Amino acid sequence: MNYIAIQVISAIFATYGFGIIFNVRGGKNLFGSFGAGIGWLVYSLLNEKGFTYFISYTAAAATITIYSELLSRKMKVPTVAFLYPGMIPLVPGGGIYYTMYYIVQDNISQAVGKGIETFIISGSIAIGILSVSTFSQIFYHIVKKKEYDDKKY
Amino acid sequence: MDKLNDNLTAVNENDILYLASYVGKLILESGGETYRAEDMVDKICSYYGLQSNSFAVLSSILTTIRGKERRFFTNIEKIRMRTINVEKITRLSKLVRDIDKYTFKEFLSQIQEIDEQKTNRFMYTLIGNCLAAGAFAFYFNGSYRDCIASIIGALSISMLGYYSAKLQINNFFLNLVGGMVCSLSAYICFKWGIIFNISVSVISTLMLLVPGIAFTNSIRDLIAGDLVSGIARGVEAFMIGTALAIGSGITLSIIKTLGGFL
Repeated sequence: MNYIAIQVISAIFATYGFGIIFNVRGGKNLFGSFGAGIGWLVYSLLNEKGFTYFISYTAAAATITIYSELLSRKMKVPTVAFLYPGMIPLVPGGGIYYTMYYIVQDNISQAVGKGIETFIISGSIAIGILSVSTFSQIFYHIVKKKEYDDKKY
Repeated sequence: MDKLNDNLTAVNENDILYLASYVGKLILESGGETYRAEDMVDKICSYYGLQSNSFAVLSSILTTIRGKERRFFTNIEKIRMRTINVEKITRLSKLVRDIDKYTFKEFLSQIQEIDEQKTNRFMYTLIGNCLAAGAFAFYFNGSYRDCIASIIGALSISMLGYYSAKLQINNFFLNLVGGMVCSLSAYICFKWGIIFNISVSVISTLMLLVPGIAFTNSIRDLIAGDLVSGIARGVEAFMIGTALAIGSGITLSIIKTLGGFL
């Protein structure tokens, strides 16, 4: 549990750093950072309970996307202000390094395994973002239609 | 972009097209999604009563509007340099949403102000890089020593970014060198005795270059139905990832060949 806490906190700080790089101003950067922390918390808890990488990463990505969509409506800014930084800690940078590390060590089987794992993680994140963004589109489409109908009467 | 005619007295199709394309270009330059750029252009044109169609990809945005008396006007803007600037996207989105509060000339001057907004980008990037890399060290279960090594790596990456911006180096080669710098920096810290295992600091620094944004944007473009842009960004992300892998791999390989200990 201690490891999870450290990782969540460091994910928040790392994301805040990226927010500075991407010129996310003011409170948006702070709230965006919390999104990353929440995402990693979801991943860690699911992973600890024995779920696979695929499910854990998908759930984490979905959580961050939901958080971003809700917050963007609340603060009236584009979703990307929260989604861009929030996704950073999930990206499998370690997978890239270890793949090459094993290749250099002439351990091809582990390198291939690591490479495949990296691709699976990328796919999981994609599915997480895809599913939530799609539902978000559908939801707001329905709401907008309702508003339009209300105006009509 | 060139300033519009200062003697502007009547708004015509050309001016509106120019203005709208200007906004679309700024969105793409700031790392916004292609559908956002297209959407903004169309909103601006429709507000001024013109029917428009725009098509945006990573590197350009093409806009055609149908004016009075069956005349058509077309403009294409080339995007030559792309960064991530969320604040610009935010301000442009807000400005376009409130378009009815401005006259044409006021609207144009607001956009130019956003375009010319300058911050000390290098200093901000430096601070952001160090903070992110340092935090990532703990994120990957490293110690404070790994944190220090990662910050040193972040400084190296910042300098690399600074000089490459001046030299206009292509993206693939830049990331290749970036991967090398990450590994080399970590190895030097290892030799200095700051760290006892280079993996954590290499990964922490590598995270600064990993194409998380291109990847996320790729997915969002695909969701919006922009298959061309979505796939293009996906390929971009893959290319960057490959370059980083090759770069760090080359350095590790050289170190091993020279008898260094990994």
